[in-house]
Amino acid sequence: MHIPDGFLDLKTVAGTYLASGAAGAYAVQKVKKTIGEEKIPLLGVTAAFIFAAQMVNFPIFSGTSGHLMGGMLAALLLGPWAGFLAIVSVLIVQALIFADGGLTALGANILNMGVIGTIGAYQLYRTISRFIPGKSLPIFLSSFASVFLAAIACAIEISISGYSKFIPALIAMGGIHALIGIGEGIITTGIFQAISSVRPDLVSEAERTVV
Amino acid sequence: MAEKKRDVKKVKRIWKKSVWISQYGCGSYKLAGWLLAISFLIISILAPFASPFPDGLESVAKKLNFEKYAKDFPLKVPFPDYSLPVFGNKFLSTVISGTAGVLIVLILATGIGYLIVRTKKKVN
Repeated sequence: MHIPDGFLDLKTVAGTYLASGAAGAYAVQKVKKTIGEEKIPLLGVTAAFIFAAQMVNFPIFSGTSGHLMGGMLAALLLGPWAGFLAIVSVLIVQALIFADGGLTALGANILNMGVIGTIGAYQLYRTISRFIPGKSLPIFLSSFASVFLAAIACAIEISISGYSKFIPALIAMGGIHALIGIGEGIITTGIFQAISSVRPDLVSEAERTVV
Repeated sequence: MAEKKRDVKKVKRIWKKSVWISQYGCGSYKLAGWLLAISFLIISILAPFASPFPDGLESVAKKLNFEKYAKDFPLKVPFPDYSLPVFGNKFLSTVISGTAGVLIVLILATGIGYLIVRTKKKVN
């Protein structure tokens, strides 16, 4: 759901850049407080891994495909703040090196996939975890929500810009990304279980970085 | 006597093992190595066979008829649309541009991380 150039008007471009910039500044402060130097290689590699995974589109129905977004995965491995930085790195490289996602739309893409799809989804995961025991179901649900909510935000931004009607965009984006979100949930839960069977300590460490 | 020797050997072996674990098995480094290796595997095995269908937003843009507003990226980029303009071969250009992307993301994210951690030390 990388928004290209041309889908957003000036006020939306400015607003989303401002919001993402503020979130970025806040995340940097949080990372300073919660992440040690020994975690930096994992930050780099998690970002690289998510970039690779995002290249693998899977068909959801004829004519449409989806791919992993990776926001919840990044947050699970690194905590929400360093996870946000991992997603931002991926989005910057995708735009500047691969022209995937527009330059004027970079702020919106960071807002959708980084702020909502990573930080927001992780807060949701913590809330859901209070009511649902175990880890798999909360991870599945919040990964699903990360894609679904990011798509809703994307629909709102494009219709606020006046390029599409609000309700049809909401229904179309929400409907397709509900399906992609199921894929996101399955992949994220699977990768998480594989990693936590090798490194069960990692997740509890990431959870401590929320503060 | 023989028992003592065996015990010494055992301790030595455990010691060696723990040194090995402390060097290679601790911290985030070992997992990082695995994740990087798997990233390159994904690029060279899965990415060339990714679905060519448009993604969710693209197909919605087509369906709701606002695809026409999309503009080309304003700057010249090295790998437009995950391909090398020079190579005709799709498999090769996907693997090469993907590998380059993995390395650039790795360097950028690691760089951002170290910069943040380093300024923390100066502040303290």
